[in-house]
Amino acid sequence: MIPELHFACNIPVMNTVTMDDKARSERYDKLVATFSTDLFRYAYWLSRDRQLAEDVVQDTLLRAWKSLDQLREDASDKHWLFTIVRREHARFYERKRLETVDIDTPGLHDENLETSGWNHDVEAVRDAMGELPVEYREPLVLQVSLGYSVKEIATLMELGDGAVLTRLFRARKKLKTILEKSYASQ
Amino acid sequence: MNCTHFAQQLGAGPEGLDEAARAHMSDCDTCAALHAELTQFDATLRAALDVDVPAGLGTLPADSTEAPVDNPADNVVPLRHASAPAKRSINTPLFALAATILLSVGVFLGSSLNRLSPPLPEAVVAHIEHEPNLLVGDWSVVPAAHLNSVLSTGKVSLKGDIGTVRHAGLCSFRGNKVAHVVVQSTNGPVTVMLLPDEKSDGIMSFNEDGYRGVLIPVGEGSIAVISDSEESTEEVRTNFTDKVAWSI
Repeated sequence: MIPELHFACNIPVMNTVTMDDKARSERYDKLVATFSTDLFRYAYWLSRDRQLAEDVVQDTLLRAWKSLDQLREDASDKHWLFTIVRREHARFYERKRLETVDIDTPGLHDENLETSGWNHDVEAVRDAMGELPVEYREPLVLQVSLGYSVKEIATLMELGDGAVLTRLFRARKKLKTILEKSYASQ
Repeated sequence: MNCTHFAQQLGAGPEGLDEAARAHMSDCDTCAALHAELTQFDATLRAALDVDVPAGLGTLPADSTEAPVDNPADNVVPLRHASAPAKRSINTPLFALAATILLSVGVFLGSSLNRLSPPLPEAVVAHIEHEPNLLVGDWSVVPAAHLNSVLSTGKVSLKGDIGTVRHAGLCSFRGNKVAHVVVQSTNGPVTVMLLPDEKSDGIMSFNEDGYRGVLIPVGEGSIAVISDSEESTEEVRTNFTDKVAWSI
């Protein structure tokens, strides 16, 4: 359920200066053009549900419209938008808190990658991504599809850099295992 | 760097290799081949992740195209687009009568809805959720002049030091401008909302959407302290309560 907004934050201490309608529309259009595709793909790969992803993104962009005067037109806009998508996804699945403590990604020790078997077709990889647990799928989507740096992923997922690196490594490894099992069962 | 360490770095992303890994790759054919294979795999993965995006994302409902207003009731987020109603010809006298009745009903409903605003803890958490950056950000210390300016506009006067303040801003909250500060506790950032116009009957703990908090009555107003942990909340509550007064 999407909550009502009852607030506007970061009001300037002095008089509030609001954008005129044309400037607001232009700014909003730019925001949509810049982020809507990435937001949808992120929402989709979190939920694997197109309708839910569309609703979440639509709501997120509408919130952006309502809060346009407070957004700063810099990297924090992107972080704000993606955080809203992440929270709405978490809310939908009734996860009461986002992960704040990384308890399941200890160091890699002597884990290694096999040096062959990485050649797969797009459809098979897409199916395998759907089977990857979300805690591995999410950082991989952020890195590979949306171009997030390790630092940005760590901030969004509230993890340490090391934990993100470990998850990315394990994500690729698990993905390969899923693909191999899938081929073996055919 | 050995082959295992190289593979671990490579597995976290073939584009993020450091200098040592690149040097190792230039001397190790096996690792160079693995790098080429994983780079190709990531290209396939990127193509797999590029799902089709529906058209019209971000299209605003017809009633959302004006600038936002202060009335909270106008700041409701509909999930689906409402289609615009078809235009009809209007019988002017009947329309005037209907408009009068609707206006009266609207005034009545408006005053009723004010009384039905959500409970204070729920409203506080909804507010915090609007500003997720403030719980995870990495800020420098807020200058004293800015903090004082925010507090004074938010009708707050402090009687003593409240520790390191990481954020101070003015927010519109249930029709009032209130001070919203984030202070550093031993265990992390803690949000404090200073609400001179929100009276509460007694100390009230709450746990909404995973946020632990406490509402503390101070004179005719309240302080809301919210964080992830009970320890942090308690630490800040102890530090704040005796130092806040309202400058109404």
